[in-house]
Amino acid sequence: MAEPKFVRVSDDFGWALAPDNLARATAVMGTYILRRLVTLPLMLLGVSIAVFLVLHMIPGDPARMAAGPDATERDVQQIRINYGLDRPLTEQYGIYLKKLVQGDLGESFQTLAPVTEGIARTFPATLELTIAGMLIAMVLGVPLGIYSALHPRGAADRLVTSVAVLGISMPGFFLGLLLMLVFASWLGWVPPTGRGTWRHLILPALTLGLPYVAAFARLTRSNMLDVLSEDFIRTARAKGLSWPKVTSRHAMRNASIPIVTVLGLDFGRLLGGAAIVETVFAWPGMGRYMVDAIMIRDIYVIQGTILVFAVSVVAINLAVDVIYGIIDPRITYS
Amino acid sequence: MKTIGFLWYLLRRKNYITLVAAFVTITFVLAAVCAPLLYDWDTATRVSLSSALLSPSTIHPLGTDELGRDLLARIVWGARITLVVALVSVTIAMVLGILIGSLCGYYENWFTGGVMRFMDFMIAFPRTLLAIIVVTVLGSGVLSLTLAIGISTIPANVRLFRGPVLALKRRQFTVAAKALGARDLSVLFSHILPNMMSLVIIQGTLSLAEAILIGSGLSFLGLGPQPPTPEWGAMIAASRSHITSHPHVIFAPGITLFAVILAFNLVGDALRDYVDPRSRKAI
Repeated sequence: MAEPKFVRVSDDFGWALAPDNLARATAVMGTYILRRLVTLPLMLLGVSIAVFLVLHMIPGDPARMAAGPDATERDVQQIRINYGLDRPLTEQYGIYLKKLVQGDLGESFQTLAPVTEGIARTFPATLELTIAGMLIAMVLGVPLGIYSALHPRGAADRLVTSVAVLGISMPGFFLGLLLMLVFASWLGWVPPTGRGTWRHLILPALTLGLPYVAAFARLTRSNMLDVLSEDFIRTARAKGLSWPKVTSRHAMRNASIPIVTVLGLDFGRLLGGAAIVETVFAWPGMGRYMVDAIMIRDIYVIQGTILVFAVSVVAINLAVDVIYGIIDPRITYS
Repeated sequence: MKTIGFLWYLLRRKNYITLVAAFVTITFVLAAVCAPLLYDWDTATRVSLSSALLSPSTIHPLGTDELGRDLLARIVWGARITLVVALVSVTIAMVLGILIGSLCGYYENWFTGGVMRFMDFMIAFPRTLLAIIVVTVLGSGVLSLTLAIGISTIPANVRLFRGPVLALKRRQFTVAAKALGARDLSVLFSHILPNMMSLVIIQGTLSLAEAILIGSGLSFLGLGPQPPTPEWGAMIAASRSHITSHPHVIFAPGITLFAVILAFNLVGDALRDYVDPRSRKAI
């Protein structure tokens, strides 16, 4: 199959949309996505083994913890047999995997409710928060970066370069508490804690997203500057295209590839930071669910939540790779 | 001597913000080292409800917290814990990162390739989450917090330090050393690594900032040192219900934390320019 190589998107924007090439590109992308989807179960298997092993390194006897403080030795032994904890490790993993495939992650020692139920309750809240935080970082950061690239050494430019270091230095929980103090307690514009309306979402999402605004802006800016100095931008201008068209179609599309990479990495980072923001704003998400479980060593909850976090990270990486192919047909993954 | 040279460089370049940052880091280290001379442990941890939530005064320069403990005493002792956790964790991450990274860069085969693939996978994983998992396994406390931060930084360091080794091992002086009969390890340690020292210093400074940030976050979640140990993140977590009525209990440790992290980041950035003038404000 002739692979579409060395073709710049911006040389001819219509390239990827020409019927012939579109079919070819779709076929190439199709096989790539197919190959990734085949390796996906292998990766998930690896993740499940890792999570299983990590949880077996946790000190303490899960059977005794499940039995509670008043249990007799016989009760503990009975629980050990019921959970299969007396079997060899490989056999235990087999049982774990079999249950996992059936969508059974065990149950909480504390509430006796299935872990899947807890995750189903809390994961949407975390996802909502992370996506909102990501949107704030993007919606503020990317245009700011484009603007400062188009006006080098202007006010926005200087602001972006100097503010980025503030973003990476600010502890999320302190920022969250400050925002809560100002906008909820003093001004009373939004409710301080909890989840419900879109007004509840504003402060947690800002806390999560704001530290990344300047970083995104800086990244967009440097990539835009690189692309803007290329020949095809001059060509596009010489053909008589207006600046907005050149920036949006020719420059931005080429500058967006490294940005997507970082977006993918940062999405994972935001997901990891969610536990802290959820604690500050009493947001009923999965990060808090996990940390609470860690406090009381609720093994199956810890195991389940870590697994879901890990799978999310794998899924995000897959999504990033697929998005690459869409924005840049040069990438053929052969 | 080198510190003074660096400070003089900042002064000459009129980089006053970083100069202030350098003094913040020096004050932080001094406070951490001198904590037992300034306040005894008892002042920082003894509960006295009669003096709870006092505003700043001459006796308590930063006021007291909800259990009547002097905030300045707690912040000074907190600096000691923060510095120890950050220094030890960064040392772990740097030593292992440099070791694995340089070996993976020097020997390119299927095994080191596999190690790098694994590291790439770990880097995709959020660091806070990695650290939380390590704390889960080791239990909460100062030691496991330190290990958690250290271990979760290793993958990024491995990748960072592998790059220069890959480039340096093809340079003429390395090839010459090998031609003269130097052993692999001696080439690595006496010819390649000394050429990476500036990177090590810069990365070390920036890692300190990140270690303090992540450590305080884990402590805020309750996964770090347990009360009454004065850790800045844990202090904020414990006092946060009083934020509306007595904001100073949050502001005192919060601003200190932010200032110290910011200072290390600024100093790290300036060190990069100082050590390598070519990268001076690249963008």
